[in-house]
Amino acid sequence: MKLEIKNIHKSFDGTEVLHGVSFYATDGSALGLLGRNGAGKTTTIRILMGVFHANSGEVLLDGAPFDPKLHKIGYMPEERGMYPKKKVMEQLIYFGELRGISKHEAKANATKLLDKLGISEYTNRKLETLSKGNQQKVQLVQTLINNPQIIILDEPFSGLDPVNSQMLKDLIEEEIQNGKLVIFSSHQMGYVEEFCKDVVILNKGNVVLKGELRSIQKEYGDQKLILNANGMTTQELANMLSQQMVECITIVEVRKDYVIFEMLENYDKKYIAKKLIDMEIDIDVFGDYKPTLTDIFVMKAGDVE
Amino acid sequence: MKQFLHILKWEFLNLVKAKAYIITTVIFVVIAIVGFSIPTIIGGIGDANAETAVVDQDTEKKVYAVYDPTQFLDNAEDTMKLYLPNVTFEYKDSVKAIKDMVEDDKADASIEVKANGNFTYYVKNNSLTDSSPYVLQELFSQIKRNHAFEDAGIDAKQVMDIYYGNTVNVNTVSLGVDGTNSMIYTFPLIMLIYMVVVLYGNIVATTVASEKGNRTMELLVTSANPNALIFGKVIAGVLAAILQVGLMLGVCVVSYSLNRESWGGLLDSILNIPIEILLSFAVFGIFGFIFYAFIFGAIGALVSKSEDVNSSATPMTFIFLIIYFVVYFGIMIDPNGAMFTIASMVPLSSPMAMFARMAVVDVPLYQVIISLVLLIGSTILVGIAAAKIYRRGTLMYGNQIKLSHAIKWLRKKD
Repeated sequence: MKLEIKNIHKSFDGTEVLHGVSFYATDGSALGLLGRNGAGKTTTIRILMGVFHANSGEVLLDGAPFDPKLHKIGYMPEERGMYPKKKVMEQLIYFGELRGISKHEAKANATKLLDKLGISEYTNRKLETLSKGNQQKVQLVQTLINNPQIIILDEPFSGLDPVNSQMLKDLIEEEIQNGKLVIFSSHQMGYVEEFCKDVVILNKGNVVLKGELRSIQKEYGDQKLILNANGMTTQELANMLSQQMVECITIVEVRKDYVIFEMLENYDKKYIAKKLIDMEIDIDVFGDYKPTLTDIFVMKAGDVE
Repeated sequence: MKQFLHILKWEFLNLVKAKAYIITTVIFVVIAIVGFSIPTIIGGIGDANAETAVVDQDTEKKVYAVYDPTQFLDNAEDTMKLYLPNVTFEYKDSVKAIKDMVEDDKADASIEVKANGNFTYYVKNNSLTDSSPYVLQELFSQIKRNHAFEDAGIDAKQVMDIYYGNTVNVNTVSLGVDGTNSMIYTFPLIMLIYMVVVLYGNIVATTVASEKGNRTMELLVTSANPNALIFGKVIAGVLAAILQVGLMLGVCVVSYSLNRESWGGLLDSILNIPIEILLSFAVFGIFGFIFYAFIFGAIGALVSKSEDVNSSATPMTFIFLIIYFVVYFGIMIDPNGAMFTIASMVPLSSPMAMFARMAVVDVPLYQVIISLVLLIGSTILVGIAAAKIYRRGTLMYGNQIKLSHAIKWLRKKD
């Protein structure tokens, strides 16, 4: 199963918010949809869910136009909300029925999931009486109640403590193992790195980066090295490098712990190491730069604060 | 369709299981049952045919003090007995004396006779229901006529026999609509439609807005068709209203029927509503209510929180109040006039005006049909517009959406 978003444009009241967004997700793996606030993630998801219509472009499932009504989709919106004054089971059944399963099936699935998440004791309590974390778990039960093939989670970890986060992580892993197609939107890069095989970074309505996370990381670390020296600040080190090694490197970034620099063409790590020793620098850290997702994200989407 | 039914059921149960709904219904039902039973409990209301009532009147003896310096009332005892069989007249020789008797509660009232039979009637506490002055006026006029006959040498008794022995009966047959009688039930029914629209309109707007307030909307619009959502909510509101109002009216009718004897049939004229009026009231009332419920639903979709519903719904409620008064005074002043005829055709007012007009004047059938078609057509249009506004409005949070903005949406494809 391949869910493909192709060249989506969307405007609200004359202002275009998505400028040709394209990416795809496949079953059995998770796609991380990243972007800053207002980047267009939620709008993209809503177009996918059929809440909004795109001005142009299409959503395809295995090459055919995708009709969200014909497929089982589980959606956990970032803006959490269910009926605060209704009992947990009562409203889970209602949402199950709205999403096309029978009352009986909804009840059975809800019972199973509530039990799995350790909140079965709240079955007949009003939602508003539950703690925030438990309300979030009820949201997750709602998302999975119709045993969806496609699962879309918008910021699923916000507001969860570490224990609950772990529980949620296990559950999502299990769904991925079961061959579900998971689209995962978050600011919390740590979780995305753990789950997602592929990532898409949106910035101001454009896809600025997409692909397999591992190869992106490799690509972004390619030809880049990190260095830290004892006895001087990283800024002093960077100044020194840019004066004395200008023919073979360019400084990429000066961080608190190390300096990142890129080797110019025709130079390699061995040559640089030799040169550093010649300069009599007291090396503390030296090695390949392995960018984290956060690094890549800031690089791609962090241009305007 | 299946989704619509799930939504309808959910929304309907939410409404009728709400404490406020149950409590209002129960309180009303109890008051209605007790209220209609009161005459039975205290022993009945006056009625021309009920014997107890007549005896009550008979036993009430009254004393009138009279000061008659002109001797106007001399030789008039028979006439006075005829008009006021229960009254004993006590003659005094000064105005002060008769006034004192009233003030000291020795007499119920007193009469000072002046020239030509004109008189002043003194009573301690004047009340609107005291008909004695009019009876006395009639009596004194008769006595004056008797004096005049006497002066002219005519036998007064003979004249009276001829006068009262030769009367005719009139039988009014209304070939159109009996307007006098139908006013009695028309006004309560107009008021009923007004109240249902305002009360339930606000409830519908609040249910739509509250889901935006608590963000349930995010799940709802991704789980269900927005058209099914708004239609489900509005129809649920309509059904809940019909159930409540039907229950209330039903309890009133049944408890009145059970206690009808004690009421002496006093309210029969309200219940004698011709079937065609009842039918047009029901059809126009229900479609009118759906029409307004959609408008209120759209208002609910334009606000972000249920707290904002009231202020946003006020202009609509105000317009509806004006329409209510137009209908109310239209039927009272000139139900045949152009204004009322127009009011009975325009969908905004026809839910209240058409059945009312049918009740008081003869309305051509084609007008009823045109009015109904206009109302149903507008209801469908308003429903589509409301669904469109709902679709766009549901996911807009923050500021209230301006009406001009919402109207723009209607023309756009979303």
